Amino acid sequence: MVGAVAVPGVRMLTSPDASDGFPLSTYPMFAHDPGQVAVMATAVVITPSGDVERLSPETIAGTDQVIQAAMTVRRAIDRGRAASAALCRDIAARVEGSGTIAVVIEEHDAIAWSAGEREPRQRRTVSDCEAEG
Amino acid sequence: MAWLFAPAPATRLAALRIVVGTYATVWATVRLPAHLGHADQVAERWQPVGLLAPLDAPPVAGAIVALSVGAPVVGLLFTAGWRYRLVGPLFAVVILALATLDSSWGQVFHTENLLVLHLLILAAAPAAAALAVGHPGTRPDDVGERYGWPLRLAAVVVVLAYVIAGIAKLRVGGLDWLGGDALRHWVAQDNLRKALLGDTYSPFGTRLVGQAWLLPPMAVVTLVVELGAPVALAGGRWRTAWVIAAWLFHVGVLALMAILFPYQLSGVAFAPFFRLERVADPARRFVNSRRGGRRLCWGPGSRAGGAGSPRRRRRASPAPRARRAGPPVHRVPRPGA
Repeated sequence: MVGAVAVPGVRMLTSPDASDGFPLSTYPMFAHDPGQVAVMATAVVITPSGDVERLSPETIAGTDQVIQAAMTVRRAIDRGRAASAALCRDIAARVEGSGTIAVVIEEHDAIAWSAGEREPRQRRTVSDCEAEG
Repeated sequence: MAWLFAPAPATRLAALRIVVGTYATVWATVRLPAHLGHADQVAERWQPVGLLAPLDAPPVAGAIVALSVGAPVVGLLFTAGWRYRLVGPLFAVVILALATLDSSWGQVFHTENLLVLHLLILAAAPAAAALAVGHPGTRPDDVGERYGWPLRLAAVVVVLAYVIAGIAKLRVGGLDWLGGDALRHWVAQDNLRKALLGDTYSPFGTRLVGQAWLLPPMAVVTLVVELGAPVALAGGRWRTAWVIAAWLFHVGVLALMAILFPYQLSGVAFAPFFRLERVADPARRFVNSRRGGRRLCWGPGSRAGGAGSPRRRRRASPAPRARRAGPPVHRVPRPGA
């Protein structure tokens, strides 16, 4: 057991890119520096008045986990326009109320955001669709 | 190796079973909706790890529901120590499967690793030799090597987890990690991600990001706690100091990034470092005294007519007490005897 638990640590020593696992982990969280600029995939509601409202992980991906929701959006974007459009429709079906659902990539300065600058430096819409409520 | 196999009381190991089993049962109950939700996930999101890595697709919904609903029930039996040779491994495998399932959708969690490892250790150990319901095993006053190694192994895996986390930071980030920028960026980015995805983030953490001078000492303390974990195995004040430091570290992670490590914050992860029988023994004596001198099923010989009861022992064996197969078991006098 001790050996099995220690093996991921040895793998991490030999290669910083060693893949993580469960329950035997390399515990890579927070090890690398993610930098100040954050490029994040997410989905939002754009109201008729143009306001942007955030959606929960449950609405975006049917999960209570933030990173899993972000991964869902990222993977849909990576798989192309059709997959992004399909995700958009899935989200629209889970949204209560009306508005435009947009699958987006936002770029933020994370330090500036922490200081109160909430608007992204860039927001690129990959796909959008209507939520009927 | 002598340290690893030093004798320990049966009640200490049994108390660890109860503490970890209770935690795991509560975890499986609280997480039940999320676990059931895995049955509704789209297969495209499936990124299996560990035990489930060989599966090309998510488990069928029926299996997920059975695991999810069955876990709290089996957890109660595990905690009670009922039919432990069957229930112990079963519960460990069920929780391993559920926790692996949680981590098989694009994010590997690090909150249940120690819980699963502790359950696997307990499943392989005689953790129901005392404080168990209906278990005709040895006496709760027994002391033996077979009760000692699981406790120490459970402590060692805790230490290893922290040391590996520290090694990862130095191996990936190098000594620059101690400069605090990586930690500052993580606090900022993690809270930002939570905000963008409509989750709760830490306003305290976002304020701290503006105080850049605080981050380097926090990075140093983080690595000292992680790489210094082996001192906990020395016991005594070193152990207590490290456990408090590790617990405060997780309080800090919660305060700065709204990331909850419930197994650590509840203290259960650190239970193997302590003499749990100091709590279990008075509790057992209290329960037995409330039973008017008749010992409840907290151990062998406690239930009238049970396999280990004086009445039945007289019939079953001419020896005062039959020795069970397995490693030698030492007897210690009862307190006050």
